[in-house]
Amino acid sequence: MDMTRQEARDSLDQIRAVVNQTRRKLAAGSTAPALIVWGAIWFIAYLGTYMSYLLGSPSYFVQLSDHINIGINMAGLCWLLLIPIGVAASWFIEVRRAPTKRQHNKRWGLCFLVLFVYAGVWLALLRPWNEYQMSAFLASVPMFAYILAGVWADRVLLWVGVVVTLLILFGFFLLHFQPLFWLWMAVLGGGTLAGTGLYIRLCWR
Amino acid sequence: MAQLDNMIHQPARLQIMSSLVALESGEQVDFVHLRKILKLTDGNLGAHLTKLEDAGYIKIEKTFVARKPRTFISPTGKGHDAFDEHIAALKQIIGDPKGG
Repeated sequence: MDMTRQEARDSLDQIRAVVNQTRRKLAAGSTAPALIVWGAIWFIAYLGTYMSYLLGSPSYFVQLSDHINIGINMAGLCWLLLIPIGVAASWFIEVRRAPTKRQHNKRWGLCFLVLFVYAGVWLALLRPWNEYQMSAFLASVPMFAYILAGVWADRVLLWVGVVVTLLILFGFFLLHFQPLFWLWMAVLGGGTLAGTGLYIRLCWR
Repeated sequence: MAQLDNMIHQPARLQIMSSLVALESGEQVDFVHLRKILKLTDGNLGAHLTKLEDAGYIKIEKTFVARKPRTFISPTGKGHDAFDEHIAALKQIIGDPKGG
């Protein structure tokens, strides 16, 4: 089989392009819908938290027995209801809609697990003194992941991570102890997750 | 000295193999998604996949996900080796010292 240098170079360029295109499209296949789902959950849950603070943070009590009485406020109830929905939706997306079937690759799952475990470790060590500090910290964790993903995959994610982290700090220091902080977190966190999900869906395909 | 692989050299099959080697180890890609990535028709992709499977370069697994039939494709070890040799042969042609 004869091939000129130029043909060989073109062939290698084509291979490189297909490999990159495949990786991006496969990543977009399951990442984009999951980000949109979690963006919506984040937005609704923080909107619920905002409403809860506007209404004076009403609490609900569930009588489990004569001695056990569990109290939960509206904000906690929002998160308690929405997180299982998010987990179920993520499972549905991964199993039914994912473009690939992973048999042995647990690397991504492990990365997320490490991130969540360390977020928990840092929370335990730093002991946030109020829910504003804890929310700002938890919102900064996915942005940390965005910056890392941006370094490896797409510069847009890096800049989104940097800008949103700065906006989280802005909200934390300027809106501290104000209900508006929760609206800020709803729009900022939910909007960022859903927005980047849409970006990946449209631009990585 | 590495040799160009006739089976992989064909443009559509070169694209298919390039796409499949981009998968992580143990990962299988869905037929429909592969078709969308490569912008090939059902028939065209199916025909080339059959040839690659006959050559032992890929594995095709038909399964049911939530009661719907789905086809997953992955490269075999032989397919990876053949692709690596094809790349090495291309690099030799352009005079890359890493061409093997």
